Amino acid sequence: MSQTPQISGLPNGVLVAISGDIDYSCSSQLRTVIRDELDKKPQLMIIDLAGVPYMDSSGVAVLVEALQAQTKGKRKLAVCNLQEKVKGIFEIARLDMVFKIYNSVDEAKEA
Amino acid sequence: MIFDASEYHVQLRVISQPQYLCVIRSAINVIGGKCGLSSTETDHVVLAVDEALTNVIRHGYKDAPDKSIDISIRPLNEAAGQGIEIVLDDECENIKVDQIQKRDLNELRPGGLGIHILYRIMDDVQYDQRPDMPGIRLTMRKFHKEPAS
Repeated sequence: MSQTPQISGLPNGVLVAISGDIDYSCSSQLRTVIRDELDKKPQLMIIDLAGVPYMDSSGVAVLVEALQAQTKGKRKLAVCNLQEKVKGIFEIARLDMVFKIYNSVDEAKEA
Repeated sequence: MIFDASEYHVQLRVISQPQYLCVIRSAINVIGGKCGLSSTETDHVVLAVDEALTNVIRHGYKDAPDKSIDISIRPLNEAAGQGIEIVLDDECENIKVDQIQKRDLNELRPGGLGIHILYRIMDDVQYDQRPDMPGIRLTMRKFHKEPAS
């Protein structure tokens, strides 16, 4: 990641905007940030990937953990603004049917 | 298959620190096109190599930051078509080839995706114990395919 994820409050949850490549060099840092937000039990967590040109499976694993935590608590998680390479790994890992993926933050807010 | 280093056009050695994964990604990104792969194919090979290196660092070296991984790359021009061959040599002493398995994707869990991604992307994936020293040699091949019309 090129910088710490930006956290913004939503009326019913939280928006996490990430920027930069996500690989094994930074996925544990991302996991810490997201876990801190998950601990607050947001009704909706939106993860905005507009600023992420590349993600490997260690980044995907962080998102899967977040999805599992939210689902277990009967809360929602949405991801949005996937760039082409990031869409690619979701498809290869067959996660494009598991996550709720939106084209914009506004669309994700309606999740 | 006998490994002959002189057949490889590019040879890189990277230390086992994840901060340098981006360097190898950049190199593969450039070399993929020179080997006749499309932009999308190159993107996928970049991901496959990244996953393979991460597996070595994380599982093979258990995040020790002072180990090395050798990467040898050559273009392929065979009956199967144009493509790229990438060989990763590590010095992991605690991993045996038969321990390396991909997992079932029907199970939703965070880990274990890397090997699956490798096999999904590359046309050939072969793990061997290194004959000359402790460690594993991973040989991966990807051929260019014309888009279906």
